[in-house]
Amino acid sequence: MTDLTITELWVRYAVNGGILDAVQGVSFDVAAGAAVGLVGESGSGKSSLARAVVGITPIAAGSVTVDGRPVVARPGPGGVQMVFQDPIGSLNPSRRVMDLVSEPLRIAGVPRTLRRERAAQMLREVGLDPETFARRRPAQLSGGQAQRVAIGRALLAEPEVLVADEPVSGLDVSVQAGIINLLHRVTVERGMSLLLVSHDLAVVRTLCEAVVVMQHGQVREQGPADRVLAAPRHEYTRELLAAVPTLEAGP
Amino acid sequence: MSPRPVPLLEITDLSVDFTAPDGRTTHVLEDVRLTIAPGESVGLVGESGSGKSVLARTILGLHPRTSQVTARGTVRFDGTELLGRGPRQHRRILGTDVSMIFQDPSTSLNPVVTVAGQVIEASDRKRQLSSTVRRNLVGDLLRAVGLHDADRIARSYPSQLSGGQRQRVGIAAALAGGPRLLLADEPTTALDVSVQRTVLDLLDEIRREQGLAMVHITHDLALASGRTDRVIVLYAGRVVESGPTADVLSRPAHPYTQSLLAVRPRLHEPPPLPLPALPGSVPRLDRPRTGCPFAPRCALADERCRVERPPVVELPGRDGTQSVACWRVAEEHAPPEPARTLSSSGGAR
Repeated sequence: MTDLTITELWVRYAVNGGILDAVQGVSFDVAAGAAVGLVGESGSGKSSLARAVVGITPIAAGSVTVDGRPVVARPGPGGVQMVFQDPIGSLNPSRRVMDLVSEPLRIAGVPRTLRRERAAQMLREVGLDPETFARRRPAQLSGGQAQRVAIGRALLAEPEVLVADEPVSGLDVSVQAGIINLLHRVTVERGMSLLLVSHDLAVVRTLCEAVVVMQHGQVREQGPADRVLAAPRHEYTRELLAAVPTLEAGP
Repeated sequence: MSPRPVPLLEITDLSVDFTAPDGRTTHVLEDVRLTIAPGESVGLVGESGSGKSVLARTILGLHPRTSQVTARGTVRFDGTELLGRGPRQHRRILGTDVSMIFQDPSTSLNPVVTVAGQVIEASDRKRQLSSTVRRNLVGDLLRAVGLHDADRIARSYPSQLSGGQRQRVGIAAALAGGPRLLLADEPTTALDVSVQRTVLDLLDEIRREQGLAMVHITHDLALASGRTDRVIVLYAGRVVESGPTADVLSRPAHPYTQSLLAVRPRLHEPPPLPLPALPGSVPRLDRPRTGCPFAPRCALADERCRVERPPVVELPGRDGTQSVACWRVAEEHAPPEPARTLSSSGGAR
């Protein structure tokens, strides 16, 4: 089985002549096929941690392993893939959807015809009709459509772990639901693990069975989502929960 | 019968078309009506393409210069018609009576002007004030929005402030002219949840203290709950449902409103996945719409929904009337004889 294991992870930036420890000795596991939500506010270190997990941001100390092997030592397809908050901005604006989605296959050396066939199949899987979308460029997509392209591309790399950094924030509520359903379906079907980074506790509660709460680079609380979000033990988790808008009536 | 108080803002049958340089016309708003009473808090709820931002900009007289804008209907502020006036005249009538808080304070504030400068500029549009009065006014406004270190912040540039502080400065600038109507366009989406709540609480407090009317423009019904007296739900440029917030949230009548509530991820007792997501997407607005704009995505729609414009049905609520533009609701709430609810002069509203 493929577990994502994060051990005593430190991420450090040089800022304004000083040092910022964005992630300070964080440890947790994402079991094979599990969905774990990483929640926190700006400056909590959650995005730095996510970027370190996929190897975009260097690790200062500690380790990130998938199935016991360091992630950084496994370039190319497989391993860990990431989708980002701003789907349109994260896609190369000059490329067409077909090329964007099939990029991992091109890197893997898959022949062109097969590549196109598999990319078209993937577009259908993420809910985009290849006839309509294959030739479009990112600017011709809505936010939800672009996020589907980004997810399709990540899936074609056949990752064992998908890291999604705020994949639905900024999307309309009805579009959000479609992306949440898609993430759920593809991770369950593939037995893929999901590390969902989000400030939205309701989204995390909907998709994840476990939660890690971060503040100022440290883990404040972690555990099963239903327990942490229904009966939080840490004061900070309680504060976060109290701030979530709920559907209560009347002014 | 005592006459109804004059609404602060009254919009009747407002339609707005954008015509691009290539001649393509987009029907952004169709026959929108709404009224806002002095001191009232209203939620304007809609997703991308609903026309909610265009509605706010029409009230303010701000429109993109890249398109030719045609607006029909009436938009009256305090009894004065605003439509059909040039941008300058529009602004002169409104003066500082209506102001807007924008989504992203880091782009709506001028990066090379100090906080004091921004707030003074906003207050000076209408009033000629001495420099001492202005300085005091800036300090008062900054403290009123919870920026207690007002002197330091007044001298700062936007980049030296946190997101929450910047949005507070945006609110201070919006309040500087002494508005009677404040339009808040998702002012907290760029902020952390805990900061979000304090900013929304602040807006509530200011509204109550100063008796301002406020329009919360949002895509999330939950943000409207607890902070608005009424909500207006827009879909593809039309008002599909409106009414007292408590009624609309507890018994949404339009299938679109129902769906908006059903697909919302929930913190407690989350529904099993998949969420009941809407099929399809918002209709293109550059084609004439027939029938109900939501019909292509509506599980309850039949042929009539697709071709005939739905009537507006009024349901008595706890605290006012809930209006719904839907054939299904019309059938449930009206006797089957065709003449009554379905009669409409010159098309339904």
